[in-house]
Amino acid sequence: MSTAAPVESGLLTCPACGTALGPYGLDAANEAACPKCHVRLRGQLFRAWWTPPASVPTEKSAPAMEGEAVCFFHPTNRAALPCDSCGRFLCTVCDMPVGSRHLCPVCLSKGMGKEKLIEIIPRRFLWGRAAFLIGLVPLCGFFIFLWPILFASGGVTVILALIGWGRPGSLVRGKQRWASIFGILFGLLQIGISVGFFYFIAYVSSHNK
Amino acid sequence: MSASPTPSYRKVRGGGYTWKGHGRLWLAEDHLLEVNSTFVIESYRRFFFQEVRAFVIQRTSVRRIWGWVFGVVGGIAGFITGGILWGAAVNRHEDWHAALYVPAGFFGLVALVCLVMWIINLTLGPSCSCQVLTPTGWYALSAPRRLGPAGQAQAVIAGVIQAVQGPPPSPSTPPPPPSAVATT
Repeated sequence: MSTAAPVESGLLTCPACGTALGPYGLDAANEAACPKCHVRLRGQLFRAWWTPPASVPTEKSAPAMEGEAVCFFHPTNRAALPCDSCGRFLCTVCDMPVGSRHLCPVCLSKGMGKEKLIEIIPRRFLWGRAAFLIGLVPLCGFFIFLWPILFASGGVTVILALIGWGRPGSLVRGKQRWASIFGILFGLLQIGISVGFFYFIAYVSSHNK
Repeated sequence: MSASPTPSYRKVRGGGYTWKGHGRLWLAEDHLLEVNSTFVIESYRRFFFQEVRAFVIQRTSVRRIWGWVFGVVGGIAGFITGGILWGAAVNRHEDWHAALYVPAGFFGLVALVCLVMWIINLTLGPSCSCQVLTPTGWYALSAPRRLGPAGQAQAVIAGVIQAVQGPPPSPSTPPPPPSAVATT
């Protein structure tokens, strides 16, 4: 992920060259040129630009008074909120905001390990589409003469499609079962072509003797 | 721990191709999702509405560059095609003149593809790059890459962000002091 330098709250800079722009140098409808790099910009500011985030994590949490709920992980700290997953009380040190949810460090690490937290998944391998691609490409034009390896690539295609059948698919497009189904069909077709060529050659060579 | 519910995503108009693959924006209930797809791998980047400070569309010269590339390559291919066809017509009584139609067909096809791409590039409109300002800095989005869809995307995204954050203060409100550095 490419990141620019941290932006101070309230300082609007040109995204291209980093020059400070006027506080109202952006217009949603009309373009304005950056005074330094002359890149034409248009856009708008939101309320968060005027209001710095309030929930900046602090190193020290408020100590608990007598009778107050305490943090599960820090018994001397006052509980600020419960974990949205396990319900343990958390202080501001242990609060891990993930999107709109607040988690404890244990739930966060569990969610990172098994992709249970949709909010932090960085990427996904699409098994169905991989099966579709490996199933389709060898059948196209130039690759058909590679019939001896079609048996292997067809087998790989079917295995990939079957593995992907139960795996989570695209985050936005869902499982896309069509890709797995076509992958299986193309894989079987590749195996069929390979076996057919083999029998054809065996038949021709036996009749030539 | 229990798995978090899968959010429902709404597609934002306008895609774009970068070196990271095909990019597209999707709207969830509380965040903007940037999806970069290389057919078998999808990578995701999230911008939570609560944290977005600005959305900016920056004009780029990508359309002009592609226009020149398609124009020059197509023009050269067309010129070569014309030359070969002229040579074949002049030497039509020779035996070998028919062989000239093969390279003429190849360069003609290149010229035709470049012409079609040049027209598509022209009709898609000016190119741009969308940027999002968060507490950690500017992030360049991989989509939309053209000004028309980007304007529509900006309107949609701005509406959703303002629904979450509230309307911005009046123009008379002074900007906040550039002091507190936010960290996330």
